Amino acid sequence: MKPVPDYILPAWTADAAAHFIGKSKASVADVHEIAAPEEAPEAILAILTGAGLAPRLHLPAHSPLNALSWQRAPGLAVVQGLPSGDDNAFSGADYGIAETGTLVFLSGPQSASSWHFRPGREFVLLRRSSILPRFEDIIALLSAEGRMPATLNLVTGPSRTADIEQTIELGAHGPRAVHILIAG
Amino acid sequence: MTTDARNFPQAARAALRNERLQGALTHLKEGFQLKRAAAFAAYPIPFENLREQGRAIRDSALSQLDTLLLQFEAQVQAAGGHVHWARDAAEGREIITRILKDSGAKTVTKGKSMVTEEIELNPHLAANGITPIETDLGEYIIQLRNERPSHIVAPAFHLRRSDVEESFRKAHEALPPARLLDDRPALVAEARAVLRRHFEAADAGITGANFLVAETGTAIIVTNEGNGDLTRLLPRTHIVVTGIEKIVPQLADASILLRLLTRSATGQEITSYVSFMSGPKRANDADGPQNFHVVLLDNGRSGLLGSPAQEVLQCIRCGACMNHCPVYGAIGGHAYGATYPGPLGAALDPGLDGLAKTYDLPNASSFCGRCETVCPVKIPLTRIMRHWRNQAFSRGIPSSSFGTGLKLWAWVARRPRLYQMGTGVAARMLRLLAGAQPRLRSLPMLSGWFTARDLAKPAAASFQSEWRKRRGNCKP
Repeated sequence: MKPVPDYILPAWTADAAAHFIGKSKASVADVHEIAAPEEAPEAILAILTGAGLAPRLHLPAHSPLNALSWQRAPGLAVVQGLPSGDDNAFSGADYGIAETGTLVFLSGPQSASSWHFRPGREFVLLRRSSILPRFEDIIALLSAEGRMPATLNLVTGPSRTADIEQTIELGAHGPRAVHILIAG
Repeated sequence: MTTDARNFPQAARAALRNERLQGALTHLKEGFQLKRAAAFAAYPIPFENLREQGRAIRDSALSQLDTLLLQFEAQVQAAGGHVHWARDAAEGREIITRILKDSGAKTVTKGKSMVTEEIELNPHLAANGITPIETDLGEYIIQLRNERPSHIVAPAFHLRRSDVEESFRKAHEALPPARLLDDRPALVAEARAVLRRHFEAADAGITGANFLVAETGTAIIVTNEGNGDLTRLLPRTHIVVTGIEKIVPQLADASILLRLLTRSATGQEITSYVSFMSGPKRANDADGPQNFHVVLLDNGRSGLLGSPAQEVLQCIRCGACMNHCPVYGAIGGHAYGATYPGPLGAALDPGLDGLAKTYDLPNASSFCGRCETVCPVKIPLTRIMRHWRNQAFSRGIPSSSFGTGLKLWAWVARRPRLYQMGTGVAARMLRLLAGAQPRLRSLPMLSGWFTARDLAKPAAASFQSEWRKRRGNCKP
């Protein structure tokens, strides 16, 4: 891909992760920081029981997330297979974009793009080191790959609509809630 | 879209008297104007710099449109997708129907696409035994009501919550009639459940594209609901339908325009979902459409290149112009009787549908210029409207009698003594009719003009006569 033109881009003083967290919360996502991915199962169980929700979670088949220490959250029922509109689902983000608190998902053999639009509640694991400042930084990485994935999704907070009387309601078709676990 | 923009004067008057519509239109300020202003105020880069970048990107793209479109086509084909070129609305409908029939599709879900409204796709599909189901909540609602969108971003802007409840109760017959639907969350939850079944059952999905990227063969959609993604990811076949002018050279160009688009449209830094689609699923991908088609629509756009109206092709469909337009704000979108309402429509519809049908739309403007000040790609909207007015006059549209009337007035106006005599007589008559009142409330045969206006009683002496009288006292 050709080099990026010299456009004026927004800048800020906070580090990428701190900026990401602020923007993500502003988009009505729930953000938690954990020391390592291994802590995710316990963190998810705590969020669900804390909100009085059924401790049941869908994992993508063939995902490396299946290898996390799920036995450390014995109350959590882990299911394989595509989630339905009221289910909880877990996946890993490829990158985060600090500018807007955005999660980046690339289609692939282990990552179904539709996963992020199906469940009622989405949990996402994001490594701190994967948080980049802007979408332009993602473009640079994709340039190095040489081609775009078939689908690249940017997800910022839950699904929403203002189509009825110009007032925001969450959960129009995609998830009603998004919980981001930043690890590292 | 077959327009009845020729009915614009009557439609506008009806809109002014429509109290429910007038109530809805009060939301333009809070719902759109203030949010947009707040978003750009919060952005560290001044709006004027941003929109100059946006204009430059769009202008440059239009100057190399053919090259970019061919590059896009090559990229899509290399990824295993198909590109189709539709000269006009009829060809667009025919291509899409053929793709669907060839794939055996019976039900099709649709993301929001103004271009599919432009080519009147839904009735054509239905007539060919294919059921289209709109999935954007606003589009779904108006589909149930058999209405057209009244705004390019918020299609159901003209409706109230109670209208939506009424439509859902009528359409969702399988659900218990005694259920409560008296608030927005209940309505959204019901739409979510009903449409989820349609998403899963659909044979094919049709979306628009906010932008096309030539370098990577990518189509981009911008939603808050996620309906566009469920539309295109679940079925076997995905068809993108969009105008040829939507293309930009690189992803970096699209990134700049996306920042302008979301702030200008809804005051958001980014929408919940922005999706970049670059062909069908790869062989090992966990999901994605097996068939990826892009239908590129011309329908009059290429005819605007090199014309004084070319810049309207820069439009990124944010809706800011209509959100800020005092005319749109008074009558809403349906009164325009054309696919695209507001200042965008006044500048674009004559190029797509012809002046004979749309001549009144460029006239529905006082040239206040508010649209131009908020346009994120600096389209000179009032200059383009003036171009269409000139065209209409020189072509004798709507009728040569209109031009004759103007020429008659011009004949008198060029003769100062005759003009002064005529206006002097008229002024004296109006003063007589007004009597002691400072304003006239009606005049014979002119009740239409007076339904929303008063006429001030002319002064006892005209400026000209006073000037002549007092001129002796003024030294040059």
